Parts: sequence; C-alpha cells; structure tokens
Amino acid sequence: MTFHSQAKTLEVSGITELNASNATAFRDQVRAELRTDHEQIDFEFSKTAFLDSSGLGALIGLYQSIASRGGRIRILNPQPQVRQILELTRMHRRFEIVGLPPA
Amino acid sequence: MKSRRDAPSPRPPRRKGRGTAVPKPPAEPAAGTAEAAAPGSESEPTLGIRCPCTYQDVRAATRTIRTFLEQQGLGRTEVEGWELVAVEAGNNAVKHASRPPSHRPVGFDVQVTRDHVELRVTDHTAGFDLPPIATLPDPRSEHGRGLFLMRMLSDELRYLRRAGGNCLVVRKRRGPVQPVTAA
Repeated sequence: MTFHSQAKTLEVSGITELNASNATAFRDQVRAELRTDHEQIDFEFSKTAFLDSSGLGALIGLYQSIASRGGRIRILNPQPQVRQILELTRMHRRFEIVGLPPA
Repeated sequence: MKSRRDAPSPRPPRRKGRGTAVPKPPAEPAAGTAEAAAPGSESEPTLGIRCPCTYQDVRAATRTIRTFLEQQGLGRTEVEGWELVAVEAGNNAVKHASRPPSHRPVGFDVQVTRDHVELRVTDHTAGFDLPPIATLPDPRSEHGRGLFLMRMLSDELRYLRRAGGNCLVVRKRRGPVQPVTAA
C-alpha cells in the first residue's frame, strides 16, 4: 500500500484486497497518514480484487474520521466485485465512486 | 463449449468416505484440507474443506471454493457472489468462535447441482438466531453487514444448531452455464 499527499488530498493505492485479515491494519495505517489539513481521501481501487464487509467497515471508519471535519472519501476505479458490495450496502451514497463500470 | 460435467484430467483416485478426491489447487496451501468430487462423476460435484479457525485460512479456503465453482462453469458474477458469501460466513465462524481461540476447524461444504449451488459452513460457536429479514445497520456502523450481504446474494439462508457444530446453509439457483476455460 502506498500513500501520496496532493494538496489537501491523501491518495492511497496498491491495495490488492481488503478483508477481515487486514482491515484493521489498513484502517490504522491510513489514519496514521491522515493529516489535520486533509479534506479528502482517494482510494485507488483498480487493483483491488476483493472487498468484504470487514474491509468495508474499515472504509466506513475512515469515512467517519474525515467526514467529522467536513471531508470526503472517493473510491477510484473499483472492480465489479467491489462496486457490487458498495452498491448492495448503499455505501455508494456516502463514498463518491469515480470511474465507469466496465462494459 | 465444455459442459459443466466435463471431467478434469487426470482424475485422482477415490478417497474413502467422500467420493472422488481432487487435490486442492496448489495456490492455497494454508486452507486446510480440501476434497472434491470431480465433475463428470456419478454424484453431483462437491467440495469439502476443513481449515484452521483464522481469518487468513478462511480467506484461503474461499479462494479454493472460487476456483472450484469456476471449474463447474458458473459465471463470474455468480462466482464472486459465492466467494463473498463464503468469506462472510467463514469470518463469522472465526469472529464468534469460543475464547480462547478455537482450535476446531471451520468447515465448508459446497455442492453444485444442475439447478442450484449449496454452501454449508460449519462453525463451533455458541450459535446465533438468524434474523428473518435482511436489514442494514446504521450507515455509520463499521459492523453488521455480513448477514445482510449473504441474504442479498442468496435465495435461501438457514442456520442449524447442532451438537457437533452449527451449520449455516446457503442456497441459490444457478445462472446460465458458462464456458469453462482450461486452467
């Protein structure tokens, strides 16, 4: 997993999978990189092949952290499985999903 | 197009008590033990896995289930749905296992018939009451979506309390048979 700060955005990429075995460590690592002036977290999910409810819970925890100060989360280029779980749980209404679904 | 009943070759020898045995795919060494009845055998294709009660081993086991379902000709969306259902069920078995951490395995049994796929996940927990309706938790909650997802991705969900291990039974009608690509 790699981090890059661009102005007031924290960009997170290189996540291959987000599940019960790594969700807590993922959430803690992202929180450790989060600065008080960050207003947005971008998760580049094009390489993320699998997300479960525990991984989703970690994203929700991070959303709570940044939304409490008016920030937002964007999910960039999610694969179909990830997009499906976001939509089934209606979290696509909280996170901004960027990137068209594959044809 | 290969039918879902085409047998892989070579077919391994028959193992006592569980029909034809197929070695677990080599990519999943941590998943515990896996046995499968080959497509094309007299019985319906089945897969049985017993894995250690950890999140990592459950995840490895569910990758094996994914591979097995792909070999039966299920489409990508169906396979991904089953993979998520198996993960959520397995994670619950780990999360609610007795303390100190259980040394009793988590069991996965998959059966593919002409019309349905059925997954049975055996846990050694105190058990729980399966709610009759799928509901989402408060959007701010980090927990409580696993059962909802299993409900949404299946046709039937039952929880059987048993002395030798409780069993979550998930069943769903199959979609159209997909072409099977060679490994």
